[in-house]
Amino acid sequence: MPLRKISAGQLMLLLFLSRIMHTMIFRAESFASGTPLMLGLLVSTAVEALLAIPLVIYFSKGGADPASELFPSRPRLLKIFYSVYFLVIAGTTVALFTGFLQSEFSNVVSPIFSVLLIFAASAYCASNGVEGLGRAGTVVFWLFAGLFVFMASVNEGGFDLLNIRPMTENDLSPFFEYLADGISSAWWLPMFCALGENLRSGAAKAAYGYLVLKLAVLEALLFLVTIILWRYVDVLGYPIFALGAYAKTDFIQRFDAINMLVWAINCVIVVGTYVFICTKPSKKPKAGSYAAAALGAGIAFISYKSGLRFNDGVFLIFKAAGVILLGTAVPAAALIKLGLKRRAEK
Amino acid sequence: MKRVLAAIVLSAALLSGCGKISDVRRRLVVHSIGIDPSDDGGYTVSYQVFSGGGNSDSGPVDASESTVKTLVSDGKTLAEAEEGLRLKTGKEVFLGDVELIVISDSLKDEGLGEFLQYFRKSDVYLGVNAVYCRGSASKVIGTKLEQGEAASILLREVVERAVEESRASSSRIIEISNAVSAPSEAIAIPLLEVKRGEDSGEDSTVSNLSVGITGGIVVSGVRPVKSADADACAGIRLLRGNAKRLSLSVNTSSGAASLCIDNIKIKRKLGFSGGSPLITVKISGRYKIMSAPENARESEIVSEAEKALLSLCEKARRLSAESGDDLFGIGRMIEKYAPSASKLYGGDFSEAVKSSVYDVFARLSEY
Repeated sequence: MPLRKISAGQLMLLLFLSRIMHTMIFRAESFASGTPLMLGLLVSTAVEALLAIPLVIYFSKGGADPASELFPSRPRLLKIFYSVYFLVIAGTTVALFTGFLQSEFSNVVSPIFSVLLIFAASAYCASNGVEGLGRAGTVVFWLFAGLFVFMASVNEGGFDLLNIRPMTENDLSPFFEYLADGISSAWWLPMFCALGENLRSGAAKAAYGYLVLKLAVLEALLFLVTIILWRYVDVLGYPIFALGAYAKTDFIQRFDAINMLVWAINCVIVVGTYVFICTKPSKKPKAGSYAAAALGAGIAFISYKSGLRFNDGVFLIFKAAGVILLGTAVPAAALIKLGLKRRAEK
Repeated sequence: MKRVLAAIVLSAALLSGCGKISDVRRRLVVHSIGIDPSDDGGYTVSYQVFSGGGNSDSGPVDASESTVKTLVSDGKTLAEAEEGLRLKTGKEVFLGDVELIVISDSLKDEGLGEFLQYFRKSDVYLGVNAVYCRGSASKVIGTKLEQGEAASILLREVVERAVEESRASSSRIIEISNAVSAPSEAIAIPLLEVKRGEDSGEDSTVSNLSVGITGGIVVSGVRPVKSADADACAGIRLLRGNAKRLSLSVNTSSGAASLCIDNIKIKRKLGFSGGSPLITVKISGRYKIMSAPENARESEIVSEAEKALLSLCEKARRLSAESGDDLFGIGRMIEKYAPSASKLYGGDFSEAVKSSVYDVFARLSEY
């Protein structure tokens, strides 16, 4: 069976949806000033651009799956590492999304039910292959973009530019905190690495297009949230949700329900992509996707019950290790091996 | 299979909501909330609610006595009062449609901390105005102002109009919350008054009620600290830089004249003079004379109006400087434009507010 492929634009949007999902469920411990957060995002994006160089060159040179390049006889061994990594990411994403549902909405279904429902839907999406995920991702992106622009334009708050302040010594600690979080949340690098073999062409377009899109949208979000909501974000907790909480029109009094619809679909597509990556070592992708979803649901439930957060020390190291090893070191090693092989062929 | 899945996904749009699942008949839709002190040290909370039961025909909803009611519930806390209302009526209390929150000025000493915490956690929209009222909030909430209109909508419009006319500061829950969470920053919450005039007898077309914003109560760090009159409230909007429109009456040598100043633009600049903050405020706007004595000179009216603007600013400045309550966002200006100087104050800008010097210029041009 030929390998199914997606375009650079579709991969870029899947990576973006994954990142925006993380922002959506990211609950700031404190949000006193937007400047350290905005600068942290800018610097972390620059670091990500550097970390992406081996990956972009490797796929631009026509490299295949890095696992097959490095271990031609046993590629599954390395693929299992990617599977485990994304199982944990998927589980934690769903656990945090469930936590968001429980904290912001009264009388929603039980946590276990929402975890099972999201993973069941994600397994179905993953079993349909990467092309289906790519197409669905494009639809969800436009839904998100429409909602974001609409919520920002009908926001009732005034713009107070006094809230944008220069960095001071006191801001250094939150700046480094956000910087560390930004870099460790760059699991788009291992994600790209795992999905690279499914990319038709245009690795640089997908990677750097994603970085530009992410930077523009998140900086715009942080800017709006800072000048409109200021300290109130701390009260509401979730920055994107907070933007919708202060938006109102004559015919839409509350954006909560629409917000939830878009985020629920986005969660399914993003987790579906993670589950799809988890099925890569499996010889039976359909059965593998349901098995991976079952494992992911278990991790999500444990994570939800134990209250594990993305910013916790151990998890921060786990995420960062994945980004460095699976997202940068593996493609760098594959690139060196590919270069040596091609030189030998000449 | 795909169609079934698509139908399930689309149904999520219709079946999802932002509150508890409850039949509309089992809901108590609250339009406004009035908070008074109770005899036992708790709160008497009045809820103006929509009561659909009284409307038998299928015509448009008439918010008359039969459809709008004021229900009262007591509690040691606001949450307990809400629970009491739920038990009393047997309905789910829905606060997502609240238009206005009115707090009696008898509760001035209580502070706003508990109220803010309660409203943040409730379904109340964060853009709802919260105002103080002179006397009983229950009476204000229950006021019948105009046949066919709920008092809450009209009262909300009274507040919003005062804010539009720069006679009061906007006091949305989010704005109060943001202001009181900043060290030394303060906000003037509008003071609503409903006055009953002489009885108009049997003539039902003459209303003896007058409703309006007559000033404000300055709140700093969740605690009300002092009162401000209407002029000082207008001055606060000018010095804060967010006044857009203002109506003024001035005295000239020929008599009183009224003018409306629109399209107000305010530029604020921070400097330092002898170690104290120097705030330069330049106010410009377009005037329209609404009424004036026949022989009054336009230049004199405009000159008096410019002086009146300076006088409003002076009143606000004095109010702020007396206690060091930062009503104009001076602390944030220092943090933004003079970060090195802000270190000297260590986060508490009350001394900077007390010693601030203002250089205010007003220039009006014809509409």
